[in-house]
Amino acid sequence: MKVLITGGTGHIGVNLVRKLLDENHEPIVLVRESSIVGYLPEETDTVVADITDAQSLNETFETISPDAVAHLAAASGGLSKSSMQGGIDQAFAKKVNVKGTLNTYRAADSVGVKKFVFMNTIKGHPDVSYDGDSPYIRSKIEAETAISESDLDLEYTCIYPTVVIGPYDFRLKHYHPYKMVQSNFALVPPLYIPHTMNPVPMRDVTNTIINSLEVGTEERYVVSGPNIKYRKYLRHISDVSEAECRVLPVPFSKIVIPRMIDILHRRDYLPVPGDAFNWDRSSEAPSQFENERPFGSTNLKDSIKRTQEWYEEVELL
Amino acid sequence: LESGTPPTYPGTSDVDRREFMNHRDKESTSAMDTLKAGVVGCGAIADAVHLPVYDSNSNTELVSVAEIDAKRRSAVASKYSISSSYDDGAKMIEEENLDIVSICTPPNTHRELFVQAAENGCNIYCEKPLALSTEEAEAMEEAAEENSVVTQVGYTIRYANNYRKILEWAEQKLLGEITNAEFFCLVNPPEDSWRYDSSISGGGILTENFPHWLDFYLELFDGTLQVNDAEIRSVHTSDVEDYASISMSSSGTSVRVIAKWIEPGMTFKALKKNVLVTTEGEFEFNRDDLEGNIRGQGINFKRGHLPFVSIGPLFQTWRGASEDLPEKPLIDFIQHAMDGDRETEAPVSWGKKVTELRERIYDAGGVR
Repeated sequence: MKVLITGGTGHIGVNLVRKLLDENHEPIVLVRESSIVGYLPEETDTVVADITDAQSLNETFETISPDAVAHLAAASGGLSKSSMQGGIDQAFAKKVNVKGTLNTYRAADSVGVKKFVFMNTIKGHPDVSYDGDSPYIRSKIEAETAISESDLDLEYTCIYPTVVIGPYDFRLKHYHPYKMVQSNFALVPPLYIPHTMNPVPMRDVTNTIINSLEVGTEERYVVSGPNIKYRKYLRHISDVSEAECRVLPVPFSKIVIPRMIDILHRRDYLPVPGDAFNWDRSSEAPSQFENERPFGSTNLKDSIKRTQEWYEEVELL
Repeated sequence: LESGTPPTYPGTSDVDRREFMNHRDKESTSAMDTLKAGVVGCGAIADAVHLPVYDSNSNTELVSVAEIDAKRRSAVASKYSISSSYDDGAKMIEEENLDIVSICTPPNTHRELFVQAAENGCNIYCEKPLALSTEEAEAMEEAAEENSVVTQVGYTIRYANNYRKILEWAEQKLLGEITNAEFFCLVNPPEDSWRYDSSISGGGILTENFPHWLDFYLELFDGTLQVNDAEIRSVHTSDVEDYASISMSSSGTSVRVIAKWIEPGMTFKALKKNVLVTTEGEFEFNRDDLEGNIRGQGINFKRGHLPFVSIGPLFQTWRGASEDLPEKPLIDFIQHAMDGDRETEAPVSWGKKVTELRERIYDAGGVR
């Protein structure tokens, strides 16, 4: 199957391309001039185009004539900002995430593509009420609405992953906890901020994408793991690494730690007051969406181990 | 010839035949328990690295040494219980049936010893600088090729954990595109008097200290570095240079170097500082420390180790952040010699490239 991939140099994209190559599919990655194609395996075919430029995109689609399209490209944040923290302005998010998605969807339809996969995020799911103001999530919701309301016949599958854990994290978006575990013999708040998260193995996400590309269901797939304490995630990392890092809780940390920091701040020991820390960092999935893995059931700890190994392989740990 | 893949024979060319013979020989070599090693030149580097490594490594047996200074020769022979020692390296290579030879003599002797060792089928570890000129290095490469021996030039910095990380990150494209590189190499002048005689040493700071970094930067930029300009001076020396300011580039990336032999004071003894600016990060590093950012993630390594305690930017401390750097390259070379693997970290063909680059810097600076 000839698959055209947008966002192929991103975290999920690189893993998807590798898996498609492994399974003898024919991935072609649509890259911009500025994309770092070195993240991709050497044998990967690439083509230069920009999803915000409809005309060049149409020409590219005509030349390649793919069987299926995985649309993963999105503007998620600037330097070091994760998608959840915002980090991009509304206009740019709209241009790339809404207009770019529509352009890609239309170009795919015009050359008779049969399967289209749109990568969303759990917070962009129609059944999750999102009341935040992240331009990223807002634009993702808008993009899905736009393609669902278009009058084109091309069927599409929407995928909503939670926090995706896996190797080839070239943009180091998930590196921080691995570095922290390796750099400390003990972690106590506020060295880590206690919260609940929902990690899901990369393999289950890429499996879901490939399955959707092959079968082409008009579905919405949440891909999620269990909601776990961030402390537990750190302990998993410690378990799979050689570091013997002890991850310890502080009782009532959400109350105690900011107050402690405030006291230290008033006495000039710390440069910031307690409320400078963002303690509401929860990235859990709504309970009805926990453990939704339609294709695959990879062990989370194996996935964490593989991620740890990759950071070690590239000398980041 | 890649290790582990025996070439088919009979082949159609002489090359095929030679590779087949070599592979067969190497198989018989690796069947032996140990490699017989000899060291030519028993100065500081031999004393600190070569002699103790060959003596202690389970794959090697230190069987012979050559040293022109009789007193030093007998001291080394008795220290390592070596029965045969020579005042002439050429004679040692000729008479002893050695598997490995380390060349630790002054640079003006390297070519002759190297070619002779290759012709005698010895695997060769040659200290830097490899040769006085590119022409010499070519002759050495040719001898190594013809006799299919395993070779390595003694560039050590590429083995240092911090430098390895930079090379690996560049290779993995984690750094994106490198936009600028700067290097300060302010180091103490050497003690041996022969190093100030260019007919023996081949040059001053650019020949004595700098090849390690030339090797590193050449590797970082995939073997292509242009020399745009160089100012080379002998400020406190007469025959060899003690100062160089070099401007190089690689596909538009600027690489600037300032190298100087300094008169060390009490507080400021030396400065080796690399600054690398890339599209995805920025770094300052040397062998001891590596600090910087990759895509906004702060990183801080000491000799390749992460901290033992790290409280953000407020406090960081390390435990046992050490590495056995001087021995690493030689131990790695021994393993390659055991495996008959000629693709060492810095074979003579690579050493020739480094020599050539140094020559271009001298040319740009109007030296010789």
